[in-house]
Amino acid sequence: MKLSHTLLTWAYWGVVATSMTVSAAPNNASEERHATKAPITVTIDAFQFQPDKIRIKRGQSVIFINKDEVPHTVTPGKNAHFVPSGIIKGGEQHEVLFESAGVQDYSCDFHPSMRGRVIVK
Amino acid sequence: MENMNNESDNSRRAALKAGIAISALAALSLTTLNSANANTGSDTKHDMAILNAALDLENQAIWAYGVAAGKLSDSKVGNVIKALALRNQADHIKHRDIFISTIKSLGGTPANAKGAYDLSAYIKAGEGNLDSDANIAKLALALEVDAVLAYASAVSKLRTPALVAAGLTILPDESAHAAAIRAVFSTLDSTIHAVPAAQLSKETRSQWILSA
Repeated sequence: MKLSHTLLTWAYWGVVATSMTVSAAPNNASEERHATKAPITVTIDAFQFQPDKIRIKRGQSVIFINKDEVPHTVTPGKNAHFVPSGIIKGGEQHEVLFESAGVQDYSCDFHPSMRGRVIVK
Repeated sequence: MENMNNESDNSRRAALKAGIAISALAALSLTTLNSANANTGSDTKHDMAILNAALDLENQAIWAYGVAAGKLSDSKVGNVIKALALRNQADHIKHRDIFISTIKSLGGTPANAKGAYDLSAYIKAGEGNLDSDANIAKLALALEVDAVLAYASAVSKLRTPALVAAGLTILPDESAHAAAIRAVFSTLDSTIHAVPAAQLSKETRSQWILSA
């Protein structure tokens, strides 16, 4: 009797666990899909893009946060395809959308030695 | 053990490179510095990026003064501004050479100068132009003021104390350039002061700039 009760209990928790897994699955997938399109953050600090190389998916955007006191820009290189940020003043941020796949190199107009790369898959 | 030795060798190499670089700056700045101030390889890489950004500013200034000098008139005012522009440019050339040798000493590659720089943001903001002697001088002033702000920001983020000390010997020279340009305007208009504020900061920038 005790054994059958134990088995029933295990069976009950088994069903609960399975149903939790099933009901949780779509949420996770949805979160994952959302996460892949969520913007990535690149910090501009001490005259450096950090990180200076990132990989994103097509249609994903990057938020550039300028932590320096001076203005910077995110300007596409020769073969890059995205809309230039224009001036990002110190303490401000700007979101850049990457719609074309490929290697997108960029630099700062005011400080050309500041360079970064976005690899869009 | 081998890793520890490698780490120690790397850190010694980084310290040596930083020491040589500091000496390059110190030789010209007459600041007493030594390799004990050198930091780790990661700090060196971080500082090198800042030094390259400072080099960018010098290259831009050298180019801008070259363009300005070519556009100034042969009038008395034009010649006064041209003489000042060429003196300021000569300082920027010296600064550029200091940064190039410092970056090389740290094992880095100095940033190349661009063929031309975009000054349209200043012209759009009414902070100078290339259409008259006065406006050219105002444009040069705006560039010098922003160079001071950029230097102050850059120097404050250097991680090697000796590089900070050496960098601080160049910063006052940049603000002196701004004051010298304003002094020329002051001879033409007594309400314009060579040093218009007690500080040169983001907050007081508008007091230093002369609108075109």
